[in-house]
Amino acid sequence: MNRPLKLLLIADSDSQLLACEALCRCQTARPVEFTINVIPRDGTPQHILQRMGHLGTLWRQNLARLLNNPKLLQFDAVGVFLTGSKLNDIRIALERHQQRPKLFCGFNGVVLEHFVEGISWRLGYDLICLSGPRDRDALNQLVAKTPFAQQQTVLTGLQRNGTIEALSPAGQRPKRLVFAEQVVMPSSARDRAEMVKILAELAIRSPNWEVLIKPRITPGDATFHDVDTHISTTLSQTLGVPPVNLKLDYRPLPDLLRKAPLMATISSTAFFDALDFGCRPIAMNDLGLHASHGSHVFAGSGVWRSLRDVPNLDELEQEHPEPNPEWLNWMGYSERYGAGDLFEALENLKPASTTGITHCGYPTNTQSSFNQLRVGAEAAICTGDWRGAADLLTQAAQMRPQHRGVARRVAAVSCQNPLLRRIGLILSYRDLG
Amino acid sequence: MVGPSMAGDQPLPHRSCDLTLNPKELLGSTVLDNASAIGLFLRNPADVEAITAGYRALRRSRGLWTAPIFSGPLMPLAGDELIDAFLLRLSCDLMIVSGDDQLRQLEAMTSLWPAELKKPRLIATGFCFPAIPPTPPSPKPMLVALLQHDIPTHLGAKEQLIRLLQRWGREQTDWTVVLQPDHPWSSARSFADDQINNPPNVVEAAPEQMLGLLSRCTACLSVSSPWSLAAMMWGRIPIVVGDYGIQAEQHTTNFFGCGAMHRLRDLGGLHKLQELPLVNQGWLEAMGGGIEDGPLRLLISLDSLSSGTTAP
Repeated sequence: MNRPLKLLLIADSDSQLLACEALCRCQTARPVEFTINVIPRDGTPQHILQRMGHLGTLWRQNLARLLNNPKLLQFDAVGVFLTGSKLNDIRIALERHQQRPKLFCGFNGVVLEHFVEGISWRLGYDLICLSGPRDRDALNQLVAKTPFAQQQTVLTGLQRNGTIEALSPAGQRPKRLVFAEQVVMPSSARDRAEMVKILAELAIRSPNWEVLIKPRITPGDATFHDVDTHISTTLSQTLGVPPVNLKLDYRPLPDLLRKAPLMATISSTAFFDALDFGCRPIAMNDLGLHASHGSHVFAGSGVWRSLRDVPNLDELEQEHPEPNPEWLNWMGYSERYGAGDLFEALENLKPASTTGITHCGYPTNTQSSFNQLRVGAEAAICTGDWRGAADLLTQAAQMRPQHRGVARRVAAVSCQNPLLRRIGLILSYRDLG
Repeated sequence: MVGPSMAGDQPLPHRSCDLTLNPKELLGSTVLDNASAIGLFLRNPADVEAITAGYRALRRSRGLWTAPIFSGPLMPLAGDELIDAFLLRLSCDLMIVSGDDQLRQLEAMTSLWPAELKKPRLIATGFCFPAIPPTPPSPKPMLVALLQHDIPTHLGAKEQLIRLLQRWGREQTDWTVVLQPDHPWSSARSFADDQINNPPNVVEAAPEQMLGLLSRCTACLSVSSPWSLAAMMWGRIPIVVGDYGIQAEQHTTNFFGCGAMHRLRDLGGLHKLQELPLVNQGWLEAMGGGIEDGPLRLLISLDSLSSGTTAP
């Protein structure tokens, strides 16, 4: 009964690591032993890795090595916080085993885009973690009347920082507004410049306040999205010399939020972190209602408002802006939803299936990943299943007819002469990682 | 009916415009003066906001009432595409969507929006083609492949798909394979790089034949053409090509759950098509297939809008 639940969490990019961190920090009566495998990747922020190291055993294995690690099967459950085809690679690798750990996966934070694609990659996992009723309703509507209608989900919520001790009252905090910058929301240089300009004007109207822009990443760090221009460059290009009370601040977000009475963002998940740290969040609406900004989600927050129209931050603070509790609950910010529910759901899950998911007429993205087709073909080649390999590679060639590597591989496996086939396979071999 | 002149041959039967005018030129004309309601179905929906704002400003400046403006995508959308379509039409009085699924998604998204944030009333009006097929199916087996302009997006993938259809045609000579564009066709260009490769039973259809062929076909193959819904509604065997994944870029997200998505390598050839299941009826109905009185719903909604704040 008291045996700890042994969990392996797999992640690569920084936002995925933050989701894993939130799980590890969950305070629960159930003992849980965490191992976190961070897939090596250039630019992974060191400070996050250091924090992860204190929360469990830290592994740094690439996917190919990890999937061949016999210790993988010793975990009770494996949580995958990756994107796209990598979700498949792990699920399919584990489904080859008669007895395998239970498999779960997450959607990170507030899902603003690509929900249908995201779900399609995740179908077939024993358990999909979602943030709140909003996500669950959307998933249920999507899979209703399909063979996936029984897909298991659990709501793990958006209270990611647990109970925070010794928070100082807002009135005793330094007069600061923390702005949580996002790398691609907004994405256009024009909108980003406009955003910075609005913050600068607010800082000028509020000389007794500090406006601190918390960059999502430090220059040179990598994140899930490709970033052309770091916010520090946008700041200097837009303002030349910014007002003295408008600054970039690279300290960890929790440190900033616990010492500020107000925060603002376009649509960052930090909105919910601010609530954890007793900081009042505002969702900035000055750039309009655009799906690509995530503003359609935050428009219902009750605090979606114009910073351009705020006379000064003293007046904003005195208003005591409070998010709409109904919206918070809908999004998943409630004590009702937490990682503890995940651990309980994992224990209550039926033994893991080894059969996978195939339903005529309902392929998921599992069967349509270019990379997965190539990996599957290599597995078939290893067992001498030339027909199977040719089938998979032919589909890959169908998807990308001009991919020379795949074309050469198809030609090699289709060769009837064993000697020529062997030579062709040697010449066309590529390490797929 | 007012609109710009259409470029190229259309995939639908020709219907003349009462007036050929660029939508933005409408504001300077007297055409809108006596309109009881205005439907905006523009190639670029980003123009909807400018036209609604311009129309209302002009009418108010002359002390005249404003007719309700409605708009909507003419095809069922899902996910991000549906949200984008909605946000581009926030200035309208009424937005039509195809089915209850779209209605539910948008209503959930906006249910907690502040009252001062103007948004259109939403109604579902079903599909924009007749529920009953205009002709019975052909007694001889026929596959209509709906070829899209830009999809699949991977370089050379459409040509590859056509080569596969040619091969299937060669293997099953009792079938006819029709390569049918689902979009305006600007020239007499052939789909196949080398038309000589087309076996006699693989033919290329002219654009305006689309609906007739869809009603006569045995099966309809497409990556994500919205016109494949017509074949689904009319009980033909649908094949939504699943090889390119469920991706917004390929517009295949709109077909998630249709129950007719297959990988080409699993199909094996034309002779297997008749064993495939029909569309998931529950999905089709939720996408709009269950609505038979769409035009009536639209008229009732417009009446109720006209009797409200915008009435004279």
